[in-house]
Amino acid sequence: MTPIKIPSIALDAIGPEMVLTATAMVLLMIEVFADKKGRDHLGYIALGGSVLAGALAYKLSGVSVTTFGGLYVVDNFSTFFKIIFMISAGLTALISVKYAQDEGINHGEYYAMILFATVGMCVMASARDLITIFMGVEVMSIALYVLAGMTRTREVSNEASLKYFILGAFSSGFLLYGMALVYGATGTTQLQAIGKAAGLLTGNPMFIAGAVMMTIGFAFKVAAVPFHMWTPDVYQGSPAPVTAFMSTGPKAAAFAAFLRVFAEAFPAMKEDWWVIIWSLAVLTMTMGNVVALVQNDVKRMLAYSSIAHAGYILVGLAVASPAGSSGAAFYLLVYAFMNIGAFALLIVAAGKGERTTTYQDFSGMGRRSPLTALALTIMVFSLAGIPPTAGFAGKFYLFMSALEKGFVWLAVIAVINSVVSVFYYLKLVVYMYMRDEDGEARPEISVAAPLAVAAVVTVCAVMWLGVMPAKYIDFAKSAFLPF
Amino acid sequence: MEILMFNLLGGLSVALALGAIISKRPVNSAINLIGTMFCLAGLFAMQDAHLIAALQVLVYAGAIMALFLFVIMLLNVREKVGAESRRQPYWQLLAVVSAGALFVPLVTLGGGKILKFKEAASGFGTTAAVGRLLYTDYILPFEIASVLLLAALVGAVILTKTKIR
Repeated sequence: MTPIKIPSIALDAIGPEMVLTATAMVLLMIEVFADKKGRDHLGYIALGGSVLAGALAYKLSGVSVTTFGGLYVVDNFSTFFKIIFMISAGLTALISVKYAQDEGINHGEYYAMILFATVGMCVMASARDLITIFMGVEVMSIALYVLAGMTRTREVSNEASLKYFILGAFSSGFLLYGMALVYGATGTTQLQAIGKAAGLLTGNPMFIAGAVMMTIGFAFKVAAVPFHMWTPDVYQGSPAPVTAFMSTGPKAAAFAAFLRVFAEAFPAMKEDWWVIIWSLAVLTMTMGNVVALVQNDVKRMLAYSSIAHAGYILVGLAVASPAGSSGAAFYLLVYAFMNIGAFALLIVAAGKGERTTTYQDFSGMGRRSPLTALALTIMVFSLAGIPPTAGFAGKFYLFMSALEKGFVWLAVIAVINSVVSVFYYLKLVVYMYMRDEDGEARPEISVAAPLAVAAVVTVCAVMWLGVMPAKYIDFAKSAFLPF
Repeated sequence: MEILMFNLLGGLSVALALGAIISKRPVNSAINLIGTMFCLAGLFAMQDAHLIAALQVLVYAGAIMALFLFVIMLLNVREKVGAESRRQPYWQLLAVVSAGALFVPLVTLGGGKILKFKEAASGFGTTAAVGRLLYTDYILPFEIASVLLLAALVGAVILTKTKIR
């Protein structure tokens, strides 16, 4: 019997993941013992866990270690994404507190699922091995399927959960089949070893088919057209805080894994693959924006706008340069703030049971609740990319990376799309400030304290990142991948 | 002998898989699929992957397919379920063409370059060897699997429990 050799394990490298898992389990235990009133505070424990995990992740910035026998890597790229995930999870926990009480879902399980999903996301950003990436994808996805169906008495929520589960399992199948083919062609699951083998495999159909299938799997997860069919229904049917979460953190995680796989495992295919990503990017942003134009429901409009934003971020992938990858990372940071902010205000406006979410329901909001209307205006300005908000800084940096590499047409199409998007974002502002109320009875707008805090934090972040982005862009620049 | 066994098991598994997608009754499809799983287990065993072969029978042919059968019988699914999709021959044609477009290059390798691998060490794929790998090189994915199972378990309970306090 040969002695068992354990690979070197750097436990401090997985600090954030351990804190999140521990907090999730603590929440599950508290749920058992807490009374009804005590459960109102569960969200703050989840928030505390994400803040602590975020601090641990931030402490690892500048560190570069590969551990667990090369399966797991902590570098600035993964650290930057982990900070995005913690922001997304923490803000989601915060905007959930009131919502969960209203909808009767303030259970430890709800917050534990958010944290479990975040663990999966961290694994996706740090994994340097196909098996580990897949485990991360599954942990994240399973938790999200449950979260989508959390409001069990609402039919749309059940539908969203089931639809997401079936199509998500389908896309995981594509991803896994692609991984199996890539393994079959290269004989290894480690990304860098695949990258080395890929150079010797020109024209090998097994490898190409594997890479294409993995692209399809990831495109499903980031909701890129034509693999977006699940997005509108799932985003509309899920509880609003969960939608805010799904469209920011998990999307960023899918992009992180997508970027790392293509930068480290498939660099040899760069010349051919940009055509695919280029078309995906153009289709995604155009289709997302055009369909968002005709929506009547603000939540559904945000779902389509989320597809369009995935298209902008795909620009960073198509460019396939260090600037492109850090541009995508910075944009995802900005997007986390502005989209969760927009959803926080949507929750405020929608009231109990999410009944009032059409454009008409926002009419006269400028008078009924001036501060809510102002905050929402800042958020949609940022989503539209109007200076001096963060959305502008993010888009500017992302599209510049395309110009630097000579992708002029891609940048032009992206800018045209941004202009189109202004129309439906500003429509909301027009309704809030320039339409009188139509006389229909709507619930009084009251802003609960945690929602107010979340709104203030996101508004400040969006303005700060818009006015003084240099420091954060520098951080994002250090979080590039070597293409 | 090995070639003969491979052809036998391989041919049978392809035939059963075809049966699973062609047969009109859901129960027949499920039974065919169970047969496919058994044949695959045989193929794994021939490659000295004993653990995978055992898991294939226990987990897929046993647990998962038994669940399939239960669901089919409980829901009392009859033939008409698949009828709608059968009325769209274009989709069937498209599916066959795209499956062929994947299958043909994979089998012929399309003249591309391939890597030569060295033979696996003896004992590779046995339960002991896989267990050893799981607890050393792949300890991290193994631990993440425990998070996955916990999340799935809690999720299943919270979604299906009739009444939550």
